[in-house]
Amino acid sequence: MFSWERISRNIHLNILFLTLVIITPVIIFIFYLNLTQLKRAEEIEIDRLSNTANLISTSYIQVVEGARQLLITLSVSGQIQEINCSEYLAGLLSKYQRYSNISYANLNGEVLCSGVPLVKDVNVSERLFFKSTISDKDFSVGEYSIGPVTGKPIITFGFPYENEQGQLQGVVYASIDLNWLSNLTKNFEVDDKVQVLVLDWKGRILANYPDQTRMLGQTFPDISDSGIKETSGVDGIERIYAFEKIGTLKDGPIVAVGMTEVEIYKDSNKEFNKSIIISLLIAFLSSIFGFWMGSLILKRIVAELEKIQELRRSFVSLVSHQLRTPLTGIKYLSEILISQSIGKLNSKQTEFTKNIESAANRLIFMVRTLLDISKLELEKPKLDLEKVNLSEVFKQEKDNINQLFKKSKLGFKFLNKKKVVVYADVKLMRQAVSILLTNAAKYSHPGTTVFIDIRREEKICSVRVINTGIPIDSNDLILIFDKFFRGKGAQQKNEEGSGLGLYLCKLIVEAHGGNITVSQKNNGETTFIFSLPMV
Amino acid sequence: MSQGKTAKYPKVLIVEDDPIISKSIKIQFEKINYVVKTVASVKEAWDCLSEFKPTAVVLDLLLPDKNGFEFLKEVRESEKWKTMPIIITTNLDTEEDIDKAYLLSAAEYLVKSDLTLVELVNKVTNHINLSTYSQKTLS
Repeated sequence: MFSWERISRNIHLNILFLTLVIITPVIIFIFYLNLTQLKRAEEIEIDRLSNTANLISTSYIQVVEGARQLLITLSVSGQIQEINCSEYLAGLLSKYQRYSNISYANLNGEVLCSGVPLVKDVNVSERLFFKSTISDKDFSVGEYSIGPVTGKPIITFGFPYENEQGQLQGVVYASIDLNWLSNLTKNFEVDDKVQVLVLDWKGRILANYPDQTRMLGQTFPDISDSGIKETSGVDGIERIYAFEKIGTLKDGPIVAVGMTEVEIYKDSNKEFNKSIIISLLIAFLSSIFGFWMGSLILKRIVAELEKIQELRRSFVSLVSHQLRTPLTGIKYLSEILISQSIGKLNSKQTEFTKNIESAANRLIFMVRTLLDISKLELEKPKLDLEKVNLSEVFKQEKDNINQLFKKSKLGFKFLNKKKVVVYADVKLMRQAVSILLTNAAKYSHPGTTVFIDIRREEKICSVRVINTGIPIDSNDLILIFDKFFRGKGAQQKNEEGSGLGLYLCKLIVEAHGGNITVSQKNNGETTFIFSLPMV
Repeated sequence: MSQGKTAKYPKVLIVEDDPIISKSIKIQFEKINYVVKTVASVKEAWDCLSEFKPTAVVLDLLLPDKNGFEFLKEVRESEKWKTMPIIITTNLDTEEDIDKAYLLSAAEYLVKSDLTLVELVNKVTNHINLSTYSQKTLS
């Protein structure tokens, strides 16, 4: 019978495999789409970083421009030439709180006026802003430094002071308090995950957000004028930085906006993971659905096949019955005639009636054999396994056909006296043994002996049936187990064979998980060997 | 058929729709002086049961009106005939049919084509003898 359990094991795997084959490219495609999206998101994040750097840089330009405007105004106003210039500058300081000091120094760098009162003489001739302003005669920017007057971290902007004849007299300069500068970054409303730095041309930190003043004056290790760079900051954390120079000043400050890779990819990674999980979930559900649908369809197909098999089985059984019924009639009537209970027959009539009975019996046997074959062919037969002593089976079956042995004066001998027990369907095993012994008896030379050799060989049991008789044509040997095949020798010797016996024998042995072969020696000694598993 | 013979010899009811087989079995039983009645359907079998009072029934399975199993079941359910030996004779030989027959207390399940008439009649006779002996012992 078609057993759902039996075939479904492989079929289920097949459905699963098929579903996966269909789903996998979809998953790969979704993965690819998501990966592209992820890359796009990364690009967007980096663009955002650049834009932020640009925006902040623009804001700082206003600070620089503010300083320039103040110093220009101061330079042209002439107030610094007045005696009370320091007071004037102090007034400006109170007005512009971003500056920690506003001063004026002569060409020697000696500070003549200072918004913050001087407690000692101060000389700024060695300061970068001073040197640049003197040499370029233009607005210049200095670098990170600690104010000599205020003691605060500052960056200083300088502007040349010329007399009415255009002769350079000194430098007016304003120092921006870096604490104020750092506080300014708060106003940009940048994300806490973003690090904003303002660096001088040497890379020293002028302003720092969100840590504010903590890192002021420390040197950023790997500075760039503009563009994107992945590098470690002063805190040793690797970030992707967008650099942007503030304004066009020579040695002007630079804005660096940095973000760690984890933060850059965090959102897009989250989205990516979410879509992958959703895709996998969809794939999983599709697989389950596909598997379920496939199983359902298969179950229907199997049910149909089972129905067809059952119909075939009933049909074969019924046909066998219908064929046997008239044959039984012929057999019974022949028997009555032969018994002469309803009238005497002459010898010819008796002989012919016996022929009729014999023919009916042969046909009945053939129908039975065909039915057995169809049972074994149609389905994996349900074997009624039990312990079977093979020698006993051979002895009993030999007794059943003893007449045939006697007729040809055949001997019967076991070559091995060891008891070998196998698990087999005794009814089928008897049938197979009967076929082999009947063949041996039919085709042996009179007076010879049929040898039986039953041995246990590790995990199998091998059985040899050896007889000496009419040789089998070597071309026939390979066909001898085929359905309806009859060898030339067999046809000449015995016309009663159907060509079904050895085929049925093969089916029985194979149904037990064994196999059957035949070999022949030149002297006509034929050996049928069948093996059965011991378990 | 005389009343004396009817009383003395066992009576066999053959329920068989194939006339040749039915006739053959009848002849064989009559050879040993059994009283035989042949019917070809379950209905006919029931019709003659009370009047004929058989010692045993030889029952085919595939019959024109009802299945032989149905007749067997009905007989086993009736108080009057429940112990009567019923021998199934058929050419169906599936394991299911054989198991079913014995479950319904058939005396024996015989495949007609595998037996000679003599063998068939002998087997039925054995069951009749066994049944008669049991009844005598019990009474």
